[in-house]
Amino acid sequence: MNVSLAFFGIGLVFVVLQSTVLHLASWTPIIPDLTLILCVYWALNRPRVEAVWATFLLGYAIDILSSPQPGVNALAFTAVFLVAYVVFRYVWATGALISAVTVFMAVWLKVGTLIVISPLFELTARGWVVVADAILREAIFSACIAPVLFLMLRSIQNRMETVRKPSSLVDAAS
Amino acid sequence: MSKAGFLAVVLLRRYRVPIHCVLALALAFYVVTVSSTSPNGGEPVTRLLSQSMKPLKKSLHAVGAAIHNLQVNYVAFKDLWNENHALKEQIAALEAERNRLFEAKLANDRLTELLEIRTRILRQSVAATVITHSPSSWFRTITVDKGGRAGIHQGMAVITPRGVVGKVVSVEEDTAKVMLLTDHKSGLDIITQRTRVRGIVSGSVDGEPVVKYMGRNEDVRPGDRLITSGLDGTFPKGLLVGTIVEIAEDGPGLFRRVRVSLAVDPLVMEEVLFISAEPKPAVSSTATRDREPAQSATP
Repeated sequence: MNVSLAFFGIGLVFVVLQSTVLHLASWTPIIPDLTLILCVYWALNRPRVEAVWATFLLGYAIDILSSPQPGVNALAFTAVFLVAYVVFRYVWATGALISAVTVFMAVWLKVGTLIVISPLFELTARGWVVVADAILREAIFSACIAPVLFLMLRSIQNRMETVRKPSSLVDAAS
Repeated sequence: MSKAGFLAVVLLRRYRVPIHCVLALALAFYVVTVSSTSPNGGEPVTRLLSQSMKPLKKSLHAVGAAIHNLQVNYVAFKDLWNENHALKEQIAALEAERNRLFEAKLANDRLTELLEIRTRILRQSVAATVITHSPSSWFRTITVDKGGRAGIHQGMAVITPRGVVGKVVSVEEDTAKVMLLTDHKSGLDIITQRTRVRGIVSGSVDGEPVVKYMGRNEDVRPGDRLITSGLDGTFPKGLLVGTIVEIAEDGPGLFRRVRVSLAVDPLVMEEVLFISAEPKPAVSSTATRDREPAQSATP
């Protein structure tokens, strides 16, 4: 099975989780953006054209499911993917801390994009503090779980690529 | 292909990911713009998708709500469980407290009765608490928590407010042993309350007390109450001993076999009163008379 397709499926599961369990459960006041972590991982480890559009579609799915203004999440996710691809990829080093820092910054980037784009975020000075606090908490939480999620995604990717390798070797031989 | 065309293809291939990113961003920007300017609240594709996603949204919401309810119910259930647990503990504590108070009331009643009988009997007396029952079925005795130091001596009569218990057989410094009426070696001179017929109440090996030496012609019948005769010099006259429950004519020789139910069940008594043969010392003042029985009646 295509790794990108598998990641897209995982992304959809994350979207559903964020829209249901994580969103409604009161034991998680901060909802980690699992989909965003996936997109960052995707941009860093398997940047392909289909990954770009899958990221766009995942953001768009969030828009359809929960956003009052369609397109803002698609835009934010794609922007995060682009920045992760263009900037983070070149300073990338494998490690839990680096992945956490990357996701931390990605969350800020995503919400920054949302704030710039969406007219919903026309806030007063005090409102900015509240929003910044919420972003900070979400970013920290997402950064904390990012290393684990990265490990999981890497293991899925490695397994799928290992399975695919023999057939490609056979093709090359023939 | 021209050089410029080749270069363009190479660049497109090399930067295809950023290019697609820009395209996706443009598309997203278009969607945002259209949706924010459209009076219907979105561009057609989004509207269509949003409409078609309605059932999915509903089901997701239902799933989420179910999970939320489950969580809320779990919390409520946990609270209820904790409350139930706390209430059970409280009930247990209250039950223990109630039991303690009930025991105190019972002890108070018993001691009051003991005090009353003590003031009624015109002999020296000492109250004591039963601490052990004889573990042997051959010897029916009890041990009390007072002995020679408290003025108990061998041969003293032992009673409770309900009736006669037995006689002191041995005395230590702080304990005394009482032979119960149910012991086969015991013997107590009695009379029937109704007809004043004399006899000796004694225990037996099988634990059933009987009246010995009750002639066949005597006027006795089941239900007759037996009281102490006062002739043995140990027990005052008129203390209740028991009641006749059965009279059999197959007794030895001239006598009938009379079975007795004792007034005092030795297994359930807790406090007893020792009565001396000597009369009470004369009291000089009312205060002394009031104080003295209360002190010695406390077991």
